[in-house]
Amino acid sequence: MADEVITAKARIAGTVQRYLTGAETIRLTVFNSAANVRVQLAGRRFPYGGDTVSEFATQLTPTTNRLATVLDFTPGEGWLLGLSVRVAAGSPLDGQTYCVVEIGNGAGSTFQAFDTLIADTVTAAHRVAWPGSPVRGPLDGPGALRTILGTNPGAGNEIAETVPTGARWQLMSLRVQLVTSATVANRIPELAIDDGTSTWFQSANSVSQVASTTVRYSFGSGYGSLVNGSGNEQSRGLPTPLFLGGGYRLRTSTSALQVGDVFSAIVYNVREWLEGA
Amino acid sequence: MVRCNVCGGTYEPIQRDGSQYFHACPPLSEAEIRDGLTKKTLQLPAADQKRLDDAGKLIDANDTPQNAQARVDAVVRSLTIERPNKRDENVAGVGAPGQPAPQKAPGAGVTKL
Repeated sequence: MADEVITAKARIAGTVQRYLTGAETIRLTVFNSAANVRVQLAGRRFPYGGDTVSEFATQLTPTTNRLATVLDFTPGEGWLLGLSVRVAAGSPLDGQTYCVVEIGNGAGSTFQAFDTLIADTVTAAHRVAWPGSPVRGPLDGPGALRTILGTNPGAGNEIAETVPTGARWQLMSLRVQLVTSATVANRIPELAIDDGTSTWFQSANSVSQVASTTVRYSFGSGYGSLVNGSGNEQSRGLPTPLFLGGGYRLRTSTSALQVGDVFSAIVYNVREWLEGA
Repeated sequence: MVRCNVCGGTYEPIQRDGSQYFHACPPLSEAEIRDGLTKKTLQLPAADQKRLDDAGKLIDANDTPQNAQARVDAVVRSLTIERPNKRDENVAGVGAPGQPAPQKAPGAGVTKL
């Protein structure tokens, strides 16, 4: 028996492995914004004093609010041979579920990491493993393409869409409709972008919208300013690329907006990454 | 679909792709600011009030009340005044164990439609 153990140990000698004393914790941290996601952490180890390789697997259901969800796992004494992280349920897009696997001491709030083995986004098709997968940051990769339906503000109010905590967006386009009341005035809607406090961009607009009309405005990254023949479709340009951090806002700023004027049908398209929070 | 009890905005808390939507109330509109200033129910920050007061003063003998009003209008349009008791559903850090993450500002809640 002892000889077999030595032989088995000799077989794994030379491969990439970590000796664990039994006191270490493997921590899986997941940042996620997609619905119904479950992530599986699986691995293989050669226990100290054992004579065969054992496998383990555990699953974590992350929150969808981009905050870290954590699972601590103590594998025991022995050699850690490999780890993998895959999506066990749900269909997150690239950029919606980011996983980190670390080894450290302690657990919960006392956990202290001393090594990162896996860090990358995962999708149903993109699994990551140690050893083998590169360690990547949450902003690496193409990001998730999302179409978002915004808040229809009450009559007389401007629109304001806020980048969620823990997200980074690249705004591709935004479309909004303004229906004006019968009150005579020349409304000039513009799109303002602020960081939650200071406005750092405002699209210029020289075309006014009069009373009792409906106009749809499209703001596109890299696009020019155009008005169609009937005047009910207007486009405006935005900076390219246009990155927005958590707490940044997209707001309309409309000269002479009247109490009975109504913005609606707010739709925008973004690439989204997880900053984590 | 829900309605924010502070700003009256309506929205879907869950998007078509299943992800969460975090509503935050817009700042006061230009009309609301003007109304608040007229009725004296809106207290501007001191710096903004000074800008407004300065804009309304006649600069010299050639200045006109119409010019002053145009300057006042420009200042009013430049103001960003957050809505009193605004709702902001974005998370404000991690909550206590077993508890949902706290919102930045619950405002007056929402009404399910």
